[in-house]
Amino acid sequence: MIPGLRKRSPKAQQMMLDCYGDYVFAQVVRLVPRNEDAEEVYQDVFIKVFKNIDQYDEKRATLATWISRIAYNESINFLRRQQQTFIYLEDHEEETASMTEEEVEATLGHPDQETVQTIRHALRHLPPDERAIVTMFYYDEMSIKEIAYVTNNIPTTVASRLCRTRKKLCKIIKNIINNNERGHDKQLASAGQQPA
Amino acid sequence: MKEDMINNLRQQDNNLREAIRQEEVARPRKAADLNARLMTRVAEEQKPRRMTWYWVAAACAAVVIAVSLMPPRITDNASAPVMAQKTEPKADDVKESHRTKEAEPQVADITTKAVDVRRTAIDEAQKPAVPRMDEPHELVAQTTVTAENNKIETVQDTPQEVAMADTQDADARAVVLTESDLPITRPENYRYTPEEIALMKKQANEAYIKWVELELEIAKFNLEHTAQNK
Repeated sequence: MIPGLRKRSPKAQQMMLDCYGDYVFAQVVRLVPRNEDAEEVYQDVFIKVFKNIDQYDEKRATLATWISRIAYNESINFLRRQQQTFIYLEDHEEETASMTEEEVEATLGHPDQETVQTIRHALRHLPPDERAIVTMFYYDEMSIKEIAYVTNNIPTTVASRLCRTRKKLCKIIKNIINNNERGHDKQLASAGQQPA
Repeated sequence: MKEDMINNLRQQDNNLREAIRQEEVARPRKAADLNARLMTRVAEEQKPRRMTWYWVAAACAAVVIAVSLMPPRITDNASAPVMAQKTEPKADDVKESHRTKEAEPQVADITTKAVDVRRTAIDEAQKPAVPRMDEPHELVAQTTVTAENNKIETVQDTPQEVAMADTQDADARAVVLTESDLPITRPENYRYTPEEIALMKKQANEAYIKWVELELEIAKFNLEHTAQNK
């Protein structure tokens, strides 16, 4: 397929879209929330892939990882161009640092359907790049080196970001649970009942 | 070591993995016609570039053809005045010392030595006939040299046409001179050829002999006149 792509063969390009289209779209859409924007970025990604296929080096990364890198960069660039401002829990670094590993493991480790829904809710509060790293690690099962290649970082940085994001997730989950409890208490108080 | 520890997290964080999996499953799917749209866009982006290259190549070819077919007359105008400045003193000193200054400004525009030679011949022909036997012979020789070397019929410039209007060749056709037709533009024509030098020497010798003969005749005449007086 790669020689065909280098010859700008439409057949090879179509084959690549069939092989990697869904994978790339999933990567894009997890960073770019709007579907229309994601489709635009998706097209940009593949046009860039077709144009720069000569620069692809098999020794450095697999084709999927190389395409992931382009998709990640295009998505991040798109978000920067949009100049969207998100407010995330960046100000709670100290609280997350003081969180113990057992605490994190207890939150993220034990199978619990209710906690899973809470984690899903918490994932939406993560910045796009951290969400992408977590997803690449847990869902795409990429190695730290591959994630480092995709995000243009060194593996150590990726590892530390991953650990920090886990703790941050726990913090968000705790906040959500606390808010839910307070909301539940308020509901009960407004209904004239005592909390359990 | 640390990488192993982090890789263990993948197995350890079941809740997180399940949550991410559900999130990914819940994400919107790719539109069915997205790939078709993308292929159309790719084809559109490749097509104009090809067409552009065709146009650029065609334009380059046209320029090359135009340059190769362009007559060298354009370059003559630029190079001719320089040549004229370089060669005029020589021509004036050696060949045209006897000529009048009637058309000096116009002559300055004339760039070819061949034309000068021809004009000399024309002027010689215009002069009243001198009872000498060698003069026509010289004229014929000069005209022949001119014709053989340069093959120039006339020049398009107005002063030359005016100068030649009085002669029998005045109604000659106007011919556009090219660089190859102007010997003065060639470096080898900055100097006289050996044939020309030989011709000039021969003419000088003949003129000297005739001058001596004339002096002798004058001396004879004076002697005879003195003898008759006595």
